[in-house]
Amino acid sequence: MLHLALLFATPFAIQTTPMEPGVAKTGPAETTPASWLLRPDGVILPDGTVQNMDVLVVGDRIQAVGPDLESDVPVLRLSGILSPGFVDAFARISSAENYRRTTPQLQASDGIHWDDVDYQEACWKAGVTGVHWIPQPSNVVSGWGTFSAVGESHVRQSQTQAVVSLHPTQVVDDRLGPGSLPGALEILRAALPTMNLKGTSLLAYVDSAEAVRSFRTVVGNTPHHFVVPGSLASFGGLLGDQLVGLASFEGARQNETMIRLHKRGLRFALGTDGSRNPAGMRHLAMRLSRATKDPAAAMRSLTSAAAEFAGLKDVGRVESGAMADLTLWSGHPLDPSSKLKAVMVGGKTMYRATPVETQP
Amino acid sequence: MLAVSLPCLAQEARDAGYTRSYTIHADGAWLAPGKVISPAFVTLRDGVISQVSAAPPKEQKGMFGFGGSKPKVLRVKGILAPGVVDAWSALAGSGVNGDRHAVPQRRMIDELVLHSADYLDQSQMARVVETRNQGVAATYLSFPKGGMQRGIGIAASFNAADLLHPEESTFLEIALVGPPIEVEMALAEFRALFENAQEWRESWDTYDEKLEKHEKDLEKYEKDFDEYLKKKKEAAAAEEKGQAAKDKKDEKDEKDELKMPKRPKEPSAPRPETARDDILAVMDGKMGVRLEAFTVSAIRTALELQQEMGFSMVLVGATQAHRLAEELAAADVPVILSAGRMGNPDFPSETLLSRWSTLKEAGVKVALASGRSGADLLLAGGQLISAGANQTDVWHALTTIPAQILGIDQKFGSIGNGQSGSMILFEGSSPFDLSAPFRAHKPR
Repeated sequence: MLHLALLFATPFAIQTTPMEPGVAKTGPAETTPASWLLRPDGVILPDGTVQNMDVLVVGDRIQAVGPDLESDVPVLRLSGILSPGFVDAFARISSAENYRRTTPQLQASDGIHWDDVDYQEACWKAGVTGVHWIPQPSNVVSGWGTFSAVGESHVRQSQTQAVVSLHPTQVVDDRLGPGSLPGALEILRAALPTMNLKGTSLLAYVDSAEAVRSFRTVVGNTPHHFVVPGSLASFGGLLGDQLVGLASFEGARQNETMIRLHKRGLRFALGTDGSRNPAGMRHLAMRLSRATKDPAAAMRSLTSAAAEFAGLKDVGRVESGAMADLTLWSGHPLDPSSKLKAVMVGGKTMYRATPVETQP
Repeated sequence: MLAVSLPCLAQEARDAGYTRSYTIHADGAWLAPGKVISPAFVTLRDGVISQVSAAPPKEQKGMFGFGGSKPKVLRVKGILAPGVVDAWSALAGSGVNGDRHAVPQRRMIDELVLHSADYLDQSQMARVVETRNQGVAATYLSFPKGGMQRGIGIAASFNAADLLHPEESTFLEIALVGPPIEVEMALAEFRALFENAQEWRESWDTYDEKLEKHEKDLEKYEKDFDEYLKKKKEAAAAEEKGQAAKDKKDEKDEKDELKMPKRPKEPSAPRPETARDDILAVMDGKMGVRLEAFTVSAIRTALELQQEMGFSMVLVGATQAHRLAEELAAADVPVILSAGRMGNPDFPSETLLSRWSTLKEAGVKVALASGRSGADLLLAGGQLISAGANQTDVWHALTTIPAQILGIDQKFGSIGNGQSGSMILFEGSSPFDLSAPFRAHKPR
């Protein structure tokens, strides 16, 4: 308990003040973070399992992870489980521009509301430290995703993945005709050579087996992930062992579908899509864990798999070289009775469940 | 002692030859909310718990030293808990009572034959098995939507083949849902049923009077008949005399002919009718009423109806019951809430957690059930806990309270002698913990 208090007595102010867009890193919250050797009861590793490990945080990154690490930095004994902060694999930015067919190729980074403090706090309370923002899938070529850490006033990566939509009911382009998949494919075929993917992947919104098959014939070997906003029941089997973005878990047959697809090796990345409800992420993972009886896979879908989906290699994982985006829970995050204790983003404590104790 | 890791229990018990009686040695057991033992030795005989203790059961001595037996012990990792009781489920399927006008009052037990393996379609079968695997030990088969007076629902557990097995707990189901005019119609229909049953019961009294009168009529009839015979004989004798009679023939024709007295008609007894028997059982307090109502006005109407007719009532659905929490507590009416949806956090007073807490604090007995959503109850309970609910309270609302409401608490809802062996074995911190293995124990 004493050690825990020590963590909170770090010289960094808790950052709760609203951020203004474009403001340079200033103020006390942005000083260089110190280094700590964290010694929790357990650490959730990139494979989703819990191991007894120490975590050495230097600056904003994790320098080492291993049993019984030794270092000359202060040691913090933490009671609870240290988990990588959850990554929202795809959250839509809301902007009027999304719905104009004259402005495809939106940059999600242009639409982030940096001053949305309520949303920031909701994310922290839900254990979410990173959000992969994507434009609305309302144009066939919708634009570029961007990644930002919750509480930081800048984007971590401005062009993550390119979002395309073969979800005819979501596409507003009136040239396509109502619900036209062939029309959408034509636009995609024409646009593909002009898109400079630079080693990133395509995120494709699909809602049918037809869309999956025709998308594959159009893009060929271009790396891609599918986003399935609805039910996977009818075409999940086509996806093999791919990594799929999943935002909801509704419907009577969804449990059976998840069990079947998990057995076939399909991996999931959980996102909030258009709901803006970060608290739903943990519940989604709980449902996944309950259906598949694989808590490690459910944890991956919240952390490392979600980061992989967003094309990021250094978030959502507790391993050396990764960003120090961490959450401390009183127990395993998939145990509903576990409480979130603290949130660290980029090596700085951003949120604590207990009230702030002010030093005179 | 046989050490078994997680894939265990019933199948292993059978493989090991412990079909009739065996003891499960677990790391602990949640006997009832707030009552925990560690370690736990739970002895089962023919699928029913026969002994629970924190120490290994002693060898039972046979007569004269013969036939003594010690139940085989099955060592398992994890903690045992009673199976969940779902007080309102849609497991009966949507086909039941589809045409309410054809059969206004069906009995769910008649539908259970359709739950045998031969008749069940695969998705229905999968739902029943999935429900059981989710840790449900007993469920209440409610009628699907449609119809105001739906029929007689029944509680059911699962048999060895994972099929539904009826329990002795039935309720008359009534729904006060839909627009006010339909609610009025439902009420009129229901009142008419009560009046009909009342009339029927009263008609037995008048039947007795009629029967008495009939006895007297019968005596009179017999006398009349004797007289008639006598007169007829006289007439016949007169005919034999011949001539004398011939002269008087015209005269005789004018006189009225000898009439045979009519046998009085026996009064008919009131006819028995199964549907009315159910209403009578409700009137006598032998069967409860499950009243489905959601809005404040419908719940008020339900309370008035209950006071007027004096039956025992369970309120089902009741999304707005929290607004009438005090009145429900005063009337001692338990409530079954659907745990299918947590509610929109933007409207904090209307979330499931807040509605449930309000009712609970007012002193209303509240059970959480899957309702029509087909929700996984332990998962829903976990979501409530992560939203801030007390774990013991949630556990109470999923086991003991629904068992009490259904009147099957002697068999379900806790771990103890005589209780069903359908249990849960969990390795996490609670049955709600999704970070650790969990399985349902199905006794064979």
